[in-house]
Amino acid sequence: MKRIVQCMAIASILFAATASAHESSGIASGFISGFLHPIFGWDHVAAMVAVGLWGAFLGSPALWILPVVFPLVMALGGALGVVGVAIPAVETGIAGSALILGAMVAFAVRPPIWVAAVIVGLFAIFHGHAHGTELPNAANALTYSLGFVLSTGLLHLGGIAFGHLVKWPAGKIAVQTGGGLIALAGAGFLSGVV
Amino acid sequence: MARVFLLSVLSLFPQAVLAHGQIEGLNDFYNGLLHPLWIPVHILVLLALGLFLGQQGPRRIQVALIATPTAIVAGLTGTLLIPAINIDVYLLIITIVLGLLIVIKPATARLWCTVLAALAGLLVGLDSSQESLTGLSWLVSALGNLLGACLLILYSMGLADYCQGSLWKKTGVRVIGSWVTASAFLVLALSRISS
Repeated sequence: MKRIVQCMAIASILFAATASAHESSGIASGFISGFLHPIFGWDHVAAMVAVGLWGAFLGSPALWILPVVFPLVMALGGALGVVGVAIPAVETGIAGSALILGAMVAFAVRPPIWVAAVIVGLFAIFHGHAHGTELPNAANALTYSLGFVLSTGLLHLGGIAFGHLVKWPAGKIAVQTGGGLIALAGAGFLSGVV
Repeated sequence: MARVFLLSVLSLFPQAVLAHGQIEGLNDFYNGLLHPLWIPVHILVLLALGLFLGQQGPRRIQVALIATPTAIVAGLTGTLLIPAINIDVYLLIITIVLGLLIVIKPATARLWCTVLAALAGLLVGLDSSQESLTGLSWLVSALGNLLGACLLILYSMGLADYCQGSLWKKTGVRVIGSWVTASAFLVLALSRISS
């Protein structure tokens, strides 16, 4: 009962009406548009969940290193997008991230932690760049960036939660299947089918 | 339990928050108390500072806990002496530093804890200029501002300390640190371009 009420509290706070705060900067609208930006891109969603899945799959310390490395490097990619530095084939990189990261989970690839961090970091640049190019247009840059960083982190968390199922034999199959589906989605994004 | 339920019900019906320098209908103290919540960069700095201090543990932050409100007071007093200046860049830089420290979670020397806390407090205070207020109104608002800032720091300190109990929770705090750093870095990049 206590847990139900706690969940209600969290849910009601999350879905509370918009606070139209601050006379000059559209804080709420900036946060919401930033929060929705990754969610409205299936390629972003697939890759973010895959990062969480892979982290859970690799276990500690990857469990926290990957979800920490990703936003930090994503910020770098975002900064490049903000300053107008062009990165070739950003959308291809994003689609490729779903393919590669999904495949890593599907085939249970367990590289050294630094290799995993480098791979994740590499793809984070593409994702960050895509978000960063939108930043100058945001109603409030800080809340926009908070929004999309939070959204990204929550997608990672979803992947981690799912990836936790690897503790069970059937769960391991489910997680690898999930990775396979993400990889297929990535292939679809790359080929233009999806 | 009842309080949690009531809070959840009340949060379903929030009124629009029309935030600006002063909210009509609120007294000076309450305006000051809520002031840190209206400025996203202040929330970020105070959240990051609180998480950082909470991670370090009570032995290392004894002096920092005194230095922080002192520095905020110094900053608030400074707003009377110097004209309002844009110090967002410095606020963002200190946020990045604190965020990275939350991620790495090094055992930070007491001196550095104090210096960082004081610096953050001073910058928040300096950035809290209330030019429309004078005399007693200013003083009351400043007291509210000080209390609001300290409460934000204490809440996030409590959260970080509570989360030391398990790997999951410790990871969560580090992840929040990375989010804070990432957000601040992006806005800093944007502000550099804009300037």
